Amino acid sequence: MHPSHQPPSHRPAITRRRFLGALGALGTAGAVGAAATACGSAAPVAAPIALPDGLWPYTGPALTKQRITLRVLRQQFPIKVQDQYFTKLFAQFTAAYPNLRIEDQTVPFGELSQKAQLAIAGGSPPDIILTFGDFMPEYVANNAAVPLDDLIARDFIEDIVTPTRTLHSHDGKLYAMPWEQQILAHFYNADVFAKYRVEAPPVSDDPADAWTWERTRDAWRELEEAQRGDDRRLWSLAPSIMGPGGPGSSYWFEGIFLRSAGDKSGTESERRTFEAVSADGTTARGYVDTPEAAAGMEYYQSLFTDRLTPRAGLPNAWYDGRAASFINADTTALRAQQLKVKFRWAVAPVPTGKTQFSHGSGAGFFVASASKHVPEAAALLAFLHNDANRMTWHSEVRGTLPARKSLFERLPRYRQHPYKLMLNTLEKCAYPPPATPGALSYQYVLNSAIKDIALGAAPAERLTRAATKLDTLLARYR
Amino acid sequence: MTTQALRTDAVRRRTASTAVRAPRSHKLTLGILLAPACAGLAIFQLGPLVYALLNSLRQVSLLDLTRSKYVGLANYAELLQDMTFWHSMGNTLLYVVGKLAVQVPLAFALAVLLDRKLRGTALARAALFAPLVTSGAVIAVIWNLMYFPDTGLFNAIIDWSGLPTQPFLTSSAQALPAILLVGIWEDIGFSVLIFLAGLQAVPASVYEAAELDGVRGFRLARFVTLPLLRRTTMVVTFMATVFSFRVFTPIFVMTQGGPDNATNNAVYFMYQQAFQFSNLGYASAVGVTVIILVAGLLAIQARLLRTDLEY
Repeated sequence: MHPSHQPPSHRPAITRRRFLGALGALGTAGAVGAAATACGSAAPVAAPIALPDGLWPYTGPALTKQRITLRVLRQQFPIKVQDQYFTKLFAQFTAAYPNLRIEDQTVPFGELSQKAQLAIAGGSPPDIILTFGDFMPEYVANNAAVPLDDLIARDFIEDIVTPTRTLHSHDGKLYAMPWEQQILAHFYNADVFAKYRVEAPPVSDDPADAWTWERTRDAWRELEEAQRGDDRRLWSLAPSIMGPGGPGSSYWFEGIFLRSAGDKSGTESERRTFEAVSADGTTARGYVDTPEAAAGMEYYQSLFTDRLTPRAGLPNAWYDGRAASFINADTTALRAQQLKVKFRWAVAPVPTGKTQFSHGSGAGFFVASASKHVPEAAALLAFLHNDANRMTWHSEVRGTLPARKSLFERLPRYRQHPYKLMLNTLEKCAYPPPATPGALSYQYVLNSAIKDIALGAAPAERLTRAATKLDTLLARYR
Repeated sequence: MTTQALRTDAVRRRTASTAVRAPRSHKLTLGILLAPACAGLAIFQLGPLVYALLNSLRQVSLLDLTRSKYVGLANYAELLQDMTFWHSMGNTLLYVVGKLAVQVPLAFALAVLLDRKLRGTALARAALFAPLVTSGAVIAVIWNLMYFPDTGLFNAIIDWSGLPTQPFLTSSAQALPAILLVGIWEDIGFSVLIFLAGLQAVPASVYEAAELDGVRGFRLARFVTLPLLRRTTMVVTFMATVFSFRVFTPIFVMTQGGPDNATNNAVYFMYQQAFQFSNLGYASAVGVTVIILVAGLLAIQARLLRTDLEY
């Protein structure tokens, strides 16, 4: 019997003809798909939905109508609502521009720089990358970022607060959109200080009322002394939760012990300690290994040798009531509210060394120079950074300081404690981190030295080694 | 001419006289079959090696690969004077020696025990091989928690027993041994597996003959099992050496090379240069130097452990 005369159920499931036919159909479908992608606009798209604030502050050319994918690399935020905020805004943007698709890649903050570096080295980085402002000079020096001046409104750029604008700019051009601004403050558990009858740091909106580091340490020692015999061990100071956590994890935080030991209007050595790197960003010797810097690190080491703070990272130590004090970024206040911490807490100005000092910088998004969709990437950034979206982020979602002056005027809470203190800290004693084209190397080397010192290395000798190492690394940029 | 040489010569002559030349079509088939594997090797093994060799002669930034500069042997010259590199090489060698000294004899002893049909052998085998199928990062995170200076499991036990707590990973003296312990725990199952395979390949008749001669216990292991497992031991030693040279995950997760470079090894040093300092040329020079040193070390091991003994 001829196969075609067989009843359907007895025919072979796959004949050679069927197989070749299917292969041809697949090939044709693939070719049509590829052509559609190449032409960009063959497939129908959903009707656009207008954005409430349009694309302000975007001022670049009209966006493409082709189908494209914008890839975004950013940090994974610690609270779910913060990540959901991005999802919501991306959905709004793609509803207004249905031909655009956004691919959102997230990594923990501590891995962000490395992921970005590798993506750039691989030659096909995401179109938009979030980085901490401290590292922006290195991305700019290596031509990894696109200048945004022709794409973003001038008044928006001029509205950016000084430390962040300085850090995100090079030769007068802005290279990163400032996502937020961060400063340090001294958060403490008022119940614990009261329970052990230890005088608590001053609750004030004026940074000038800050205690010195020495006086603060005395209070922490009193706390440590007072609770001896108590079953429950409570650290006087919570460890850093930035980067990977623990000592040596964050120059942005721990570098203040070095720099606040300097004085910008003091002796040559004190001035250099404060500056932390030469003006061209390529010399560290004579800046990070001064006697003042060593003294600052001796102080920091004493916090570990006196068992005032743990030698390893303890996530959420302050929020969970396992540490009395927490010197951390402004975001702590909103987070404490979100987590509904079970104690009375207060905020004092960050303690002062010879200089009242906080690093003032924050995260920022830049458009990768390898991006094939620069206008679209800049437009998305503009949308994320418009006034309405920023106000929600700062007041309801994350609680960090805005990076633009006009937003402070529109957020009433910056007229009240503790947010007024944070704004005053930003204006009076926040300084950008050392600007160097070898920023990543700079922070890795110093973080390593700070960790070693925290664990017992001799401060002066270790800083000298770090400075020597840094000069070798930074010599590439001379 | 010695007896051994005469025997070898006779075998060679016999092989030559009976050898049949393969037809050309067979050679072509062989070539076609081998080509994909050779291409894979060239692309994924040889290619990166040549790329690293070329990079080692240049100053290259990870962030801007287009802006590189030929510097000749300058990276190697700098490497020779880099005390941190030599310190990391010293740590690597300490780790290798420590691992070989503990892991190989321990794995042999465990394999001999597991080769016997004792109660609980299956459970012991499963426990030994469990780290082999566990992610290195997970292992490192768990051990890190156990080593924590104030809240870790080990210190809780030490504290409970009345002894002074130990800093472990935060001490320059204790960090490397602590990492070594993790490495041994992680890899020993693999060594045991190879020794077990070797033990099970030894003909039972050899043991029967030894037993007839009255050789038992430690003497049996020393004079019969060990010599017969010489090739297996060589494989285990080779693998342990190579694994020890490339240890990275526990250092990355637990100590980042610290404290004070106490756990910085050759691979972590290379990683630092490439991915922390964006110094790709220098990192490549480190890589090439390490390859040469490892190859040299393996050659020495091969010479020391070579054997003609067969069964």
